Amino acid sequence: MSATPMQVLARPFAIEPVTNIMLPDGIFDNALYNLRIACQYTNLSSAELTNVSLYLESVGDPGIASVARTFHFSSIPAGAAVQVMWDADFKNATPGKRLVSFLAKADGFESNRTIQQIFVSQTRFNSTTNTYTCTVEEGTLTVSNISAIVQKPGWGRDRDGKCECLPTTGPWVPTGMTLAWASNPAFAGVHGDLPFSDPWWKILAIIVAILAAIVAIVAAVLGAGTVSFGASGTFEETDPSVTCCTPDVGAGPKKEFTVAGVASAIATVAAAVALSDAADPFWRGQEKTPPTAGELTIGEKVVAKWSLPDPPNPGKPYTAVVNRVYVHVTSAV
Amino acid sequence: MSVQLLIRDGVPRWYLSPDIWVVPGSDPSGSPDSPIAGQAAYLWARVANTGSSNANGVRVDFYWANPALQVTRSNATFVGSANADVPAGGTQDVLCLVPWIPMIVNNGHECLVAVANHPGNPLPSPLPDAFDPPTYPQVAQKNLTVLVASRRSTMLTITVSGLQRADKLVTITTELGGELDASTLASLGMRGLHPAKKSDVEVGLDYEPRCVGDKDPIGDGKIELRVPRGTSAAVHATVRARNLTHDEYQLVQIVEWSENKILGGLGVVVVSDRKEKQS
Repeated sequence: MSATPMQVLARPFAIEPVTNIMLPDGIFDNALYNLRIACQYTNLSSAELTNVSLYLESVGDPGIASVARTFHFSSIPAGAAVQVMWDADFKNATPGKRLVSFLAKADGFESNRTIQQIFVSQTRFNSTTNTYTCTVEEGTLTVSNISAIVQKPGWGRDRDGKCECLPTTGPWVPTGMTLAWASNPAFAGVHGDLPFSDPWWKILAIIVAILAAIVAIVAAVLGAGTVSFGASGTFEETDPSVTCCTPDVGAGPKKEFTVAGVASAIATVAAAVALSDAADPFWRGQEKTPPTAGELTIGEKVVAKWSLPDPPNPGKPYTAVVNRVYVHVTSAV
Repeated sequence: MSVQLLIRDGVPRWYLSPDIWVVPGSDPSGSPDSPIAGQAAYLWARVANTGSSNANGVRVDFYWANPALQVTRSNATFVGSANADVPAGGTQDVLCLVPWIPMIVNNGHECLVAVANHPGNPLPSPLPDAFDPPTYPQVAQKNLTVLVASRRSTMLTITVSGLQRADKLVTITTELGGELDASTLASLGMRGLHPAKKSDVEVGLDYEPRCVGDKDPIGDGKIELRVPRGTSAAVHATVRARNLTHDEYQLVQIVEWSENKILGGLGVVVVSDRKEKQS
């Protein structure tokens, strides 16, 4: 018998189960203890497969505890893909690249194993300095001065002219942040290692922004023991006409918090846009400030501020007016 | 309707399971081979279900231990787990993706244990300290290591672990000879080798480490040892090969006995250093 022609073709990804928010680029952050390991399983054959079972076999970190579960499909058409996901506890996960294996078995075929890679980051919040640090093997990204607005006057009004969203619960739309990258170790030359040797540094900033938006929501719904930190008072007001706010974890689960948190997480896409959709601001800064021979890059900082004249609606183009400053710190300074 | 999980014991001794193997290197799907000290390797097990019911969600736990004869839960180190669905009457190869790094101090010689867990075929609770593969079909052990030997003697230090709650009086013996099945040889990267036609290997035991010259007595073939509870002791095995050819191996076994029962053992596949020189 030949192997079942089902494979996971793209990197598995994380889904936060309370909000159903997906973290980008296959990054799983252990600030959220409960995450789902999700993947798209594709029938690569030209024929329908019957009586298909799919399960997660193993994760390459004993600190990640997945719950065994087998998904059964009576049939999967030729070329079709199904999405499956498994609950896992990332509380004791170690930052780094980890392998994950999945098995597929269909009638008339032997089981077939797919091995893919996921990325694990570790974000923590310092309430004293109001900063987030996101640690990966290649270095640490510190995110501070996250500014956000709840809603710009004129956005989000219903037919009666009232605000659709409660001004005390968000959603928050980020309008700026300061990013400081400390490479591990200091590096010579123009460019250092990308996080996980793959995504741009700004993706870590997006992870932080998403966590800032939903961590308190998850804690409010599931209890404080389900995340590594709360997120009170983390945003700075940038528009005196609106009220910036964060949910109170002690207030208990409220539907509007979840809705606002999800909307806030979606709005963090604005940060991705503002930090450039093409080359990353760190990458651009490195190209503009090449170190001389013998210099090592010790740290880099990007201060980004942006305004959004138009509502940032997912799926629709919108304008962002962006100002970025890159600071390159080398051993020669 | 039942689930009966099985990870096969080895032949000629149960601690030589053919259903546990190692893939050294960065590719977990690579070829089985002997582990290399200090370098990551992946552990595999083959689990069978001889019962009449499918077993979904079988959790297979993997452990390693220092070169020891009787491997217990208290002297073993947990590596990681993997899940498997094993159909009734079928088998499933199971991969643990937690990298295992054999310790340099042991020169890559380690003992491996795999345990298959399923509610339909449970192990006793509380778990006994000894893994005891002969009693539990869903537990298997692979204490098999490759030793490239020459005329110069090579010494192995082996742990004899005491029990947690009782002193232990054991006899350690050496055995020469025996044949490994083809799949076990392949899993050690030794496909095509055959047992030596005559015994060209000597093995002896001692309580203390010592240098054994080419013409010195090799040591005793049997020693007794008392191990107080909660402690462990060491025995030192010296191996010397005289005329092995490059396509031969000699199986050496160091066995721990309590009265007439085998508590554990270590298999050593001795090959000639001539093979190394040719490669």
